[in-house]
Amino acid sequence: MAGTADEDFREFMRGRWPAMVRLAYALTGDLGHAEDVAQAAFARAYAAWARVTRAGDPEAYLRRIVVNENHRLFRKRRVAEDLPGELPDSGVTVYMPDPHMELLAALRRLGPRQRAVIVLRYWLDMSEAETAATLGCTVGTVKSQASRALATLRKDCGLDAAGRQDSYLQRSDVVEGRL
Amino acid sequence: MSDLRTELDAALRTVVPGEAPVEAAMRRGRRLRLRRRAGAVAGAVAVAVFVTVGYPALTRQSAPAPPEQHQRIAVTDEPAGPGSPPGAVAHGKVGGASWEVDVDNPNVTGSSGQGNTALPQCYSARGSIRGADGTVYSSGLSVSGCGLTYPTGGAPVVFTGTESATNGVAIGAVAPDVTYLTLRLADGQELKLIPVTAYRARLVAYVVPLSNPVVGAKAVLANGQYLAAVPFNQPGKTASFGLWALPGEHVPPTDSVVLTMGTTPDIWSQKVTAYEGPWGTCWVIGRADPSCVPAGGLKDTSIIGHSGDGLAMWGSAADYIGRILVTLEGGASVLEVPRAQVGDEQLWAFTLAKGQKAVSLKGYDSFGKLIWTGKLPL
Repeated sequence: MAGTADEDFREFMRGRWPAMVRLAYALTGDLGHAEDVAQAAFARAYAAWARVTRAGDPEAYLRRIVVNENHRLFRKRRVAEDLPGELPDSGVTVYMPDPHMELLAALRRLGPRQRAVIVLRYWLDMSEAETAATLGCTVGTVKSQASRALATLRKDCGLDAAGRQDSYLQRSDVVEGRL
Repeated sequence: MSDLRTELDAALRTVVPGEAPVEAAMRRGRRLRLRRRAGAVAGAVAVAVFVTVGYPALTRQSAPAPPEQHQRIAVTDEPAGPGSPPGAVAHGKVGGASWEVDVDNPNVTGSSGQGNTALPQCYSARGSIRGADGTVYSSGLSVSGCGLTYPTGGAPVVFTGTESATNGVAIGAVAPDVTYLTLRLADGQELKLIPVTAYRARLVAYVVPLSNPVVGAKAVLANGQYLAAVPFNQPGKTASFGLWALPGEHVPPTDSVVLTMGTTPDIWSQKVTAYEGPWGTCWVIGRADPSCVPAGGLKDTSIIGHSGDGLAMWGSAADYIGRILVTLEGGASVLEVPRAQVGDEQLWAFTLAKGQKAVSLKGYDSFGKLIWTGKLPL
């Protein structure tokens, strides 16, 4: 039984690793940290694998751990970030064609809370309530942080403000929680 | 104009992580688990020490059992010879039990054949054991199946298989230019399969223990060349062959990805795993037999296969496809189809719950433009 569970976990991790690193990257803006966060999240999922699989949606569970793990590590990192030196090279390759670089760079410039709101609300299509619950804040905070973050992104990326904001707000309402 | 999600999606797809540190995460997870249990274990240890010291006999009894010795089961395979009944394909032995495989006459009214030129469609396999007094008993092997198909696209043979409780049975339709096939079993035994003609079809058959599956095969051609294959082996199933390659020909590296865990209520109702390797590309959906194709170049977006009820569908996606969306009957639900890079291929699959029906399957580029529409089974 343990062998099967381990094999299931291995397959699950191999399959979802890129997606979770990308989620962590979107949240942290740093690939070294992203891999740390993703690995820590998978380790936590493995530690409770029986419960995770029983819960019914391991991927959603893991996403939540990634977000929480990012919060946890971010709190630690705030002290360490001023120290000189870089994280060791993780061997990760990032290819950033220009149009994408601009958006990722703008995302990185947001504060961690705003970045998390944008990622959860507009990339993972979470509802405002789900985003608030995941981040441990109120729906009002999610709305205000989203509004500020979108304004910053519009300014930084020269996005077509009104039309684009409307379009993704409408879209996320339609597909909320479905994808 | 595309929306923010699409742009984020496209931007984040440019992030290419390294290989998943699976074993490191598992080690870390085990440490976490141990730490969590440490408190509870501390109390239990005191009791365990007492029990161990006080009752050494119990500890001896709970010592791990020696590893199970695997007994080698001899397997043989002979083509049906002159004088065999019509439809006989092959016979042989698995250990002390004999087996024989034959096909149904496709020309008999009421059989599942399709006219007098059709390939036999159905087969059966029976096993027997001869006692010391000469009495013949059933060995428990009695299976039948249908769905024989002729090889196409350069494949030397197409096997169709089924399983009894302990054995895998496979029958294969063989291309005209194949002289014979050899199969290598996991324990190193080799079987030579010589095609016989039964009801005008060239066929081979074999029976092997499920515990000793086929791990390699060669098809020797009339011109002296041969094609080799490494089958995909799902535990408890007969080997599935997808890719037959010439010596030295490139075969895909081994990779596997769970596309869906099949645990989301109402949608993605079954676990789907995609495997790529020297066998080609295989999708394993729930407990069904694997669906394998030669692959090694599925660069287009297409539906590769689907279940008879249309509730499961699988295929490949071109690199430039951003998302594949499936719309369910009623139009209320539009779901993103799970997709992943598996080896060199982008593969996708979805499984719906009973009562659901897909009415459209569409692929979009990273800017949200519709660029592919799948033709759904009726």
